[in-house]
Amino acid sequence: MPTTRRSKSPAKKANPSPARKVTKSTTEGAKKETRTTGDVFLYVPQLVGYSRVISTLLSMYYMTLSLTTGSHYILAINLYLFSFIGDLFDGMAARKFNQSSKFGGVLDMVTDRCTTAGMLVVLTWIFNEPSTKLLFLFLFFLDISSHWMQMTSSLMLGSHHKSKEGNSKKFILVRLFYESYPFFGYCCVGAELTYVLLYVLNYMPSSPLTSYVEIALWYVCVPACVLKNFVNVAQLGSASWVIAEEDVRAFNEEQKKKL
Amino acid sequence: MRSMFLALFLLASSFPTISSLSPPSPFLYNVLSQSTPSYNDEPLTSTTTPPSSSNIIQPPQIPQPAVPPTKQLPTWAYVPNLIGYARLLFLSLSLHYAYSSPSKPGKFSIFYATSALLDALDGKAARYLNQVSNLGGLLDMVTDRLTTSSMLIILTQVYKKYAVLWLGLMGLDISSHWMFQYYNALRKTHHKSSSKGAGRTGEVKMNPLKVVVDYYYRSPIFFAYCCLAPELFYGGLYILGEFDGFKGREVLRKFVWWGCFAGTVVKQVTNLAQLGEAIMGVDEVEPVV
Repeated sequence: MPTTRRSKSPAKKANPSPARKVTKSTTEGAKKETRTTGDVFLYVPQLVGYSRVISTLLSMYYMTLSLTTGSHYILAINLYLFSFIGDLFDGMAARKFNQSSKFGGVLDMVTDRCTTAGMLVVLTWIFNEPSTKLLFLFLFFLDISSHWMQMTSSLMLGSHHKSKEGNSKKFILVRLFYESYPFFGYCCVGAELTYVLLYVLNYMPSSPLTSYVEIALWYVCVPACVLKNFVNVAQLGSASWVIAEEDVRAFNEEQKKKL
Repeated sequence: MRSMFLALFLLASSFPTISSLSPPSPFLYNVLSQSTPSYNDEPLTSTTTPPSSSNIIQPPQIPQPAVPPTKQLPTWAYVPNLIGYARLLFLSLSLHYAYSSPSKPGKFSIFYATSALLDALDGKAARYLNQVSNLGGLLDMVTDRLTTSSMLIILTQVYKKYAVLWLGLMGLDISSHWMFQYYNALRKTHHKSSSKGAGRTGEVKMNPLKVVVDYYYRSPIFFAYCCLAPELFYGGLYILGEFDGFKGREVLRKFVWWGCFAGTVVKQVTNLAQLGEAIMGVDEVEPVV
């Protein structure tokens, strides 16, 4: 599984995903070099991944501290941003060093989910209004469920070559999300920055800078966050559809076997 | 009034333990157990119950469902999936009350307990009505994860000092189930998988952790207890931490620590074991080219 955010798209038959190309060359390269299972854990993208995990854990620790003391918020947010930037690099490293692996892909995915979850939890602490707390909780629900369904449906599709991928891309927003890298980047980065800026604005002392940050938040980042979550909803829907199709296919085959 | 709700909450939450002598969801069992066949190749109805369960409706080899197979009903409309949607709804309502009516545990308890009760019912309904589906199993799994996570998120507010602990438990829960499901889905689609992933029960190297995990899956009661205990533990801790001086508080405290804590610990141990197994095995499964 490729270790970039593009990996969230189901495998396309027409356009082999980067990981498939890399896998083939890994098999060819295997004739020249041999790797053991232990090597996978030391791949460069995995090292980036581990540092991301540690950075996130430390960031969560300092965010909990900042809740009581109000003092460590800059360190907390820098650690979080380090983790976020690391996410951009692990995919690149995997391709550059020919070190794509399933473990790397799933490590990347799980770390993404946990960092976003942690950030959303911190935001539930900061805002006192119950409906705002619930909003962040539901964004967390949407993030986990849409990515979980998407992963499962693409795993199922991967095993069946008779896949109706045309249906799964019927939402224009989702098509745009995968076909346009700038749009993809804007949505992902903007969504994360929304949460980061909401956190920072809570602790920043008022200054002329604050108003610029607020403008960036509401006019640039929040729209991206909204779009990303619409895409999440669309993917949740289409992934569920794919899984249901697979259920029906299995059911019909079972019926045929009985005849 | 409060103690009545509390009693109802405890009673309702104990239903899953009493009534489910088999794992809560057929798909959950399929995904997490190596011994069931792949959903790609074999009829769904023969994979639903573990051999050791005492309330099998249908024998493993020849499916004899209690009702004839549902025809042409779309998967999303299956009864167990409708129950799943209701579970999500009740969970959301319970969280709404947890955040907005912090002076009374009653409304939270009712909705949370109902959601837990429905968790026991959806698997049974699926087997009884012959409406087992991948969508249903996945819905059940995701709802379980969201329930645990949201309780832990609420605990971060009630017990702020231990916030990192609750966040860590949440991360462990999500990552262990995610990795393990991914690993199992890969194994099911590859019939040529290495001997290391050949079977949890067939492992040559027996270590204490494996013994716990094996017993976890072989004994439906133990499995049900370990799945339910964390939910009750977190829910009980929330009530204990948020509300003072209600009747039955001491009983709840004893129940939480003497009844549920052990199961919670065991569940985390099995989470770690399965996370480890998935991490070690995921790149040994032959890649699809």
